[in-house]
Amino acid sequence: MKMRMIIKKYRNFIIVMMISMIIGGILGGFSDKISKMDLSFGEDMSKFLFKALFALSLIITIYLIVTIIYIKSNYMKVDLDNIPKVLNRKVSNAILLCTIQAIIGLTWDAVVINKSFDEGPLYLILVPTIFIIIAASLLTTSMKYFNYLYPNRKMNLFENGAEKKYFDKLDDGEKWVTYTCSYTTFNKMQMVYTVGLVISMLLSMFINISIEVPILIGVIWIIQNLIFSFESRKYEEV
Amino acid sequence: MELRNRVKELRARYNLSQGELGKLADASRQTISLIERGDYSPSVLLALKISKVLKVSVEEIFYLEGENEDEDDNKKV
Repeated sequence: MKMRMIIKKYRNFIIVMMISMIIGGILGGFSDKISKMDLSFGEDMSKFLFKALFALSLIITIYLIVTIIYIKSNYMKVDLDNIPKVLNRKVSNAILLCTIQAIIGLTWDAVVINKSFDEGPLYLILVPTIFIIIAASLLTTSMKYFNYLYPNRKMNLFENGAEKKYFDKLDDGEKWVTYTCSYTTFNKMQMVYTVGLVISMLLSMFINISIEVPILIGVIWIIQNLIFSFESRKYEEV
Repeated sequence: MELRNRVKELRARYNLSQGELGKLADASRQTISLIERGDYSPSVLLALKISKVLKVSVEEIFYLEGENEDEDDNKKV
């Protein structure tokens, strides 16, 4: 009876451990054959990343432009006390995608600089930079519509402490939503770091993964936990 | 015991939308929606504001799960 309760309590942990053991055993058994496989893109990796990021950025930017045109043609007609859910969703989607596009642009810039310093044309850095500028401009436009729809919680992106000032304008319920989403993000990121480390370990068997990848994941993971701990300790003081 | 509420029912009595009730109670539409769904328990201040708008006491809007059933049972006895 006690044993059954223990198994029930640790069921998920036991399942994950067993799956890991099976995968580890299979990989270990085939390690000789795996080591002979070459799944790397070799010299073309940088070119592949450039094209992939270009395609991704183009799709996101086109979607953003279409969304913003839709918002522009509708936002003046709505009753501000009952903003349609579709419009509300479109505005928040536009802000989210602009932010993601800016992050993709910065990552793309890093990829281009990394390759271009040693070999390849440095002018290619202009392409991701243009996409970042477009994303920033679309974000400013989206924020303009957001500020029109929610006049009591206007946000100025370029103001100092804009995020905090926006948070202070939220009411109790919205602050509770932010708290719930932040804590869920924190918990899910712990899983993302674990999966990231495991994937980097597995991929290192097939392709040449830089040693900085697992170190970077580990460092970010530790920093996140330290920030959380130090922030929560501020509120423990009597 | 969980906190339950009759905000949706009372709001319908006055024919108010979530946005309108939110505006009158100084809260957002999202917050009213969260309260109605039982996802979020409002602060004392917001509960008092809602009760003022809906013209009933706080206890008539917010109650602990099972409390109303207990009262009904007592009345029957």
